Amino acid sequence: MELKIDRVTKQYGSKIAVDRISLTLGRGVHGLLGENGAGKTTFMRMICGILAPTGGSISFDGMEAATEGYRSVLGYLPQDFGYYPDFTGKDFLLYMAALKGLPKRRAGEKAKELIEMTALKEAAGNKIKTYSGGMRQRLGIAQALLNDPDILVLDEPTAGLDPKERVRFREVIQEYGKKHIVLLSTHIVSDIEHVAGNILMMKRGQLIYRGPWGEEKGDLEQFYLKQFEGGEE
Amino acid sequence: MNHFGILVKYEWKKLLQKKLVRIAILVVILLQVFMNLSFLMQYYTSYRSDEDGNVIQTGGRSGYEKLMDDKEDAKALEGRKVDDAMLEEMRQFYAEYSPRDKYAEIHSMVRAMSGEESREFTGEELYGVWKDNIKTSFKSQLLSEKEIAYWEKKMENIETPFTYHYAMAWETILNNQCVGTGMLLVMLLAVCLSGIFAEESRLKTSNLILCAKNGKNPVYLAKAVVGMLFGFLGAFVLYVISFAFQFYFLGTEGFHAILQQDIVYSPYPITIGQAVLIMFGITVFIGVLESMFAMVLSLGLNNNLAAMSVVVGLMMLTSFIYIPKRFRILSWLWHFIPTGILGTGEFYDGRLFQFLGISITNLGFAPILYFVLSLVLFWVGRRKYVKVQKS
Repeated sequence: MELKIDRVTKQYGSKIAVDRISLTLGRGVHGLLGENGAGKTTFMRMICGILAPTGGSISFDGMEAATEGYRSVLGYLPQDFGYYPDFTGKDFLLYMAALKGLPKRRAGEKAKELIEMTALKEAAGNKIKTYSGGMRQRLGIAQALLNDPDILVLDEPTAGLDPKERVRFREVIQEYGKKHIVLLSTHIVSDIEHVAGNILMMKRGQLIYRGPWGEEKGDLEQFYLKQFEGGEE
Repeated sequence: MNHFGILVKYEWKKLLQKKLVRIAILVVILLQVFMNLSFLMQYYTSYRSDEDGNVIQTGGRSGYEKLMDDKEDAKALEGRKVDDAMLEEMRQFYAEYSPRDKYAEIHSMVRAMSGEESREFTGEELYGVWKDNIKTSFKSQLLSEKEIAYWEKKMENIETPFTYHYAMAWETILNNQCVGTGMLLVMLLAVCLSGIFAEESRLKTSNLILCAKNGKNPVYLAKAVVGMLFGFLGAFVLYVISFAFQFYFLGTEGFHAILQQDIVYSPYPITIGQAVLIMFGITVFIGVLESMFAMVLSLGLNNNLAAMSVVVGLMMLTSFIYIPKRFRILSWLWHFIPTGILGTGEFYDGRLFQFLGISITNLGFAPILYFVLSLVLFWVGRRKYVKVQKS
């Protein structure tokens, strides 16, 4: 199981949002850190095949990004999680399951399991527009996990979650990362320092750090803040 | 239900859950009902001149009363031949004042056939003038010799003298409802379908769809199927409303009445009922075409308001522009602009489309053209949706 990213670049006019990033990701949780505007979301959207890279390539076990095979092993929670306000939570998950190609029976079972896992059982029959921000975020996490994806891409997944939900979420992700590739993007260091076995740090579209972070290296947050001294881009 | 069936089910749900769509459906249905009941809001006053030339009001009738009187009078003429005997009977009737115009249906037909208000025709003269007028109409349309020969052969199947059949419901639909229904349908589709792709971007759900296994071809196909079905059902429901009201008030009789009793200069050897069904069929094809057009614009412009404006704006603009028949190909192509073709004038139009030695009338060509254009739009939309990632 290998997600291969080879000299991936994204350029908007003269602005380079992602600059020749190359890396290979295997099983485990990979924490992507970077300030707002560092290029994290652009990078993740390219991994999900939503955005076409200006240069370079992305593949998973030989399957090019954006192909049907690649998309069938992908789970994605975008930063701005979109939903249909008049769908119920359950309907939304069943629709997403059909989009992901799950057989009907499996879709029903999986939706039920994830509704319970994300503590949405009571609200599953209510319209999403009545959900709180945290509930919507949990629904977003549930839809990303529907197809048991080999590659799980989570962009700012803890936004809107309360402290208890954040802890619960970290546990789920840690467990999930044992068998799959999880790429988790955030600008909150505490979200990933306990769960990510591999840290990726982005600044101005470039990868400025990659590798595990052990206690011998000191405090990750201090290191992170030091990298971004001088303010935002 | 397979994945595609589930996707179609949820696309319907997305469409019908929108408040704007529900309001648009309700408004269009109310307008269609209003169009069919507008006669109830009319009032008719009749006048006559006395011996001194003074104008005297002789009576007044509500729209409903007049309609029922007209229906009764027209039914009394059922099965009568429009021949010498009928013309003489009519002349005698109009020599005296009567508050009821009992021969209105035949009088207006004879007036239209001869192109003159009053003249003492024999039956033979009347049908001679009628044929001459049709030939003049062919010349004014700049028809070729081949086209004229085609229609003259077709007209041999129109039996003269005409036999009048009561067909008021079918006539009302053909004369008053087809164009309006077509315009209401286009407006409905513009409002309801222009957001079908653009909404996914606005709600930010396109991110989830585009990276899912079935997010490309199957989703595009599900949306297209739902949009085209919506267009088809829209046409169907609007016509059902017209049929229901007209048949309720005027009865269902007259499907087999010849078209010329309503559209006298038409060379088509068909019945009024067939003409209505042809218009219904063309409206269905227009519904499918306009659905695809609104959806492709929604995809291309990525903005529902812009897409809606283009569809409605084009419909309004094209209804104001007339291209003279002397620009033969251009005016011929232009008259296929949807909704324009639904006017009764289409039954006069003798221009033919020649394909592999076969002559196809405009009314036969329109569904083929709309079907092909729908397929082209489907292909263009699919190509854009499936191939292009966001850049």
